[in-house]
Amino acid sequence: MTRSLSARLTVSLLTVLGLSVLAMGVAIDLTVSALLMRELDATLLDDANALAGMVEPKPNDAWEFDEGDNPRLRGGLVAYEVRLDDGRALGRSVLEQPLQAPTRSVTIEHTPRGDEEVSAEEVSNRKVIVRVERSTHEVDALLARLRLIIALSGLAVIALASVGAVITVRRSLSPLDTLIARLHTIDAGRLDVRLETEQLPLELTPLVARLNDLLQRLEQSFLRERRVSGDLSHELRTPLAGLRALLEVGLATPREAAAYQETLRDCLAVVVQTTHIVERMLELVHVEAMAPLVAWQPFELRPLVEVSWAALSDAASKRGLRFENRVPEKAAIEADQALVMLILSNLLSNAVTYTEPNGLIAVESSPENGLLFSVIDSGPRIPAEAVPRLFERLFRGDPARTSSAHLGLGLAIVEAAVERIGATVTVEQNDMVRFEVTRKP
Amino acid sequence: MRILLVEDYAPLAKATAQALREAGYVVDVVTDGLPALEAAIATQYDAVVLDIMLPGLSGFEVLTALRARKITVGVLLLTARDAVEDRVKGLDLGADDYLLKPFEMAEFLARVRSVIRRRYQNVEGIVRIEDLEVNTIGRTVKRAGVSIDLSGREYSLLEYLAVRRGQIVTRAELLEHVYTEKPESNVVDVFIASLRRKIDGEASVKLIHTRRGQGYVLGTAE
Repeated sequence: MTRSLSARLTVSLLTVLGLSVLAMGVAIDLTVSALLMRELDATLLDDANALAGMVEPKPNDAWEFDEGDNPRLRGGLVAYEVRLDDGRALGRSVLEQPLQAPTRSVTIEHTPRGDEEVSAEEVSNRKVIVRVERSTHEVDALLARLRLIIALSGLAVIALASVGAVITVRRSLSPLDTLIARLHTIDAGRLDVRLETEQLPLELTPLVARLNDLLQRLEQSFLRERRVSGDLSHELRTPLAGLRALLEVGLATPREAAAYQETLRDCLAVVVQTTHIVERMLELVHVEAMAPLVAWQPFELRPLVEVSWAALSDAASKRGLRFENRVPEKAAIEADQALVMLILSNLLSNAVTYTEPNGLIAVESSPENGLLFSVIDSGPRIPAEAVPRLFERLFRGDPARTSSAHLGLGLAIVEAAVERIGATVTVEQNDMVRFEVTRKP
Repeated sequence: MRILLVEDYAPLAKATAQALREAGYVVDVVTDGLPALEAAIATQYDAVVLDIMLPGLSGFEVLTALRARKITVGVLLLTARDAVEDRVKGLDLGADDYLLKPFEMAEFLARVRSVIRRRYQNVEGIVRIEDLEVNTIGRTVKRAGVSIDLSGREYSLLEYLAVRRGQIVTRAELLEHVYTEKPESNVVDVFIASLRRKIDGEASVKLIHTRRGQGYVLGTAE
């Protein structure tokens, strides 16, 4: 069967219609031909009875038959034969030519009545047999004409209905064409297109709603990918541009040794910074790829927090930041220790960078409630518009990036690592900014 | 020619500023968006080299604000993002040219020259006044077909007078476009005198004219 919906609909519609017309035609034909035959039989019976009435009993078992002037028996349309039950023939029709086949006949047995000449007892043991035969030619011709009319009008109905069906089907399916035309305008560069649902038939609305939903998610992830690749290119091209410019300018004319030394120092600083960028990116790629290598083991969290903080305490004290390790003694979780340390040190380093001077940083934990741990700081709050993009790679609140030490990879690494230990990380902001790492207990 | 260089990545800013200075430009370096806008409004620059990703105001915002104030200075955008939309957006906002990092210094300097030429409607890069020919690409000067040897400072003064041919250029404008630091007050007069010697010395038609109390004009006396 064809895969075209409109062809299928048209064919099914026309099949049903054709079968209906055929059934109706057959019903009409059967009814009418039955009626006509019954009529014919009735006429034959009348003729037979009339002929039987012409038989006159005479005394001594003698019989008389007179065809009389019955108009129906003239004209050669009816053949008949009248005889007695003992085989004596009383009369038969004389036809100029035999009846046209096919024919239909009726035979009756008639018991004559007595009269003043012959008593009823005398004729009672005799029977008159009349057989009347007639060609069905006229009836057949009538039926043939009827069939022709039924067939022609049936064909006309089907032809009209075909045109109607094609038009109707096309019109009913036209929203699909509009939809397809609209879909054709969508490609990776134009994912902002949404399909209208208002003019659509109800059957298509859920489909289109799902499509729109899908488009929106696609658009978001495309935007995200594009941002990331744009940021990545910025992150790598800028130091390369600096390096190239420093080297080209250094080589442009012969210079003093001190000038070369300065250029080399500047170039070295760029290389050191770029190396840091590349290493952080590789770290992220590594965390993302390490799913099968996660080493699950139970361990106490508090000492790990202490170790993670130790590396940052110098930077923190320069900014006057206080730290509280609020993780209960003996609080233990099961995860990969190295990954947890990576998460903690990234979150803490983030807090050390962004918490206002003289603020507070703390780590809490309550594993029995599904909170593996949370890193809390006294703010400032993260702007609401930045929250959805916090964990995006290379995202930083400040668009000018390159010169700062923070690349915007820390939280992306956190998210990847948190995923590896089967947990999720979210941001809550009330009086404090809280990065919470939770896992169903 | 005075150029405003807006770039927040220090190594790149340092190297490009040096390259521009060695090419004879006066360069001011700014690393943030807002000071960049203020500088471009306060000083008549001959060109602005503008990075897009800046702290404070972005390069796009600085550009939009400049054009909104009808400041028509030539702007060369620098960016490290290779998305086509960025380029289109920059040019639509009124940038004159666009360069993707990292770039070759020679190309960068050529584009700066081209932005300045366009600003002074000098498309071929050669300014001709009578038989004086100032080639702003090769930084060479000829009078009646004879090459004239000028110092860097003298050339810069002559070039600025040449691109503004026929107009009165004030002493303050010359100082602004040709000098990085505020020099001695009579330094312009000294250089003009030496330019006169080299350009107009033996020629019958004098091209450098003094407008008393106003400034200088390069061109034929009307």
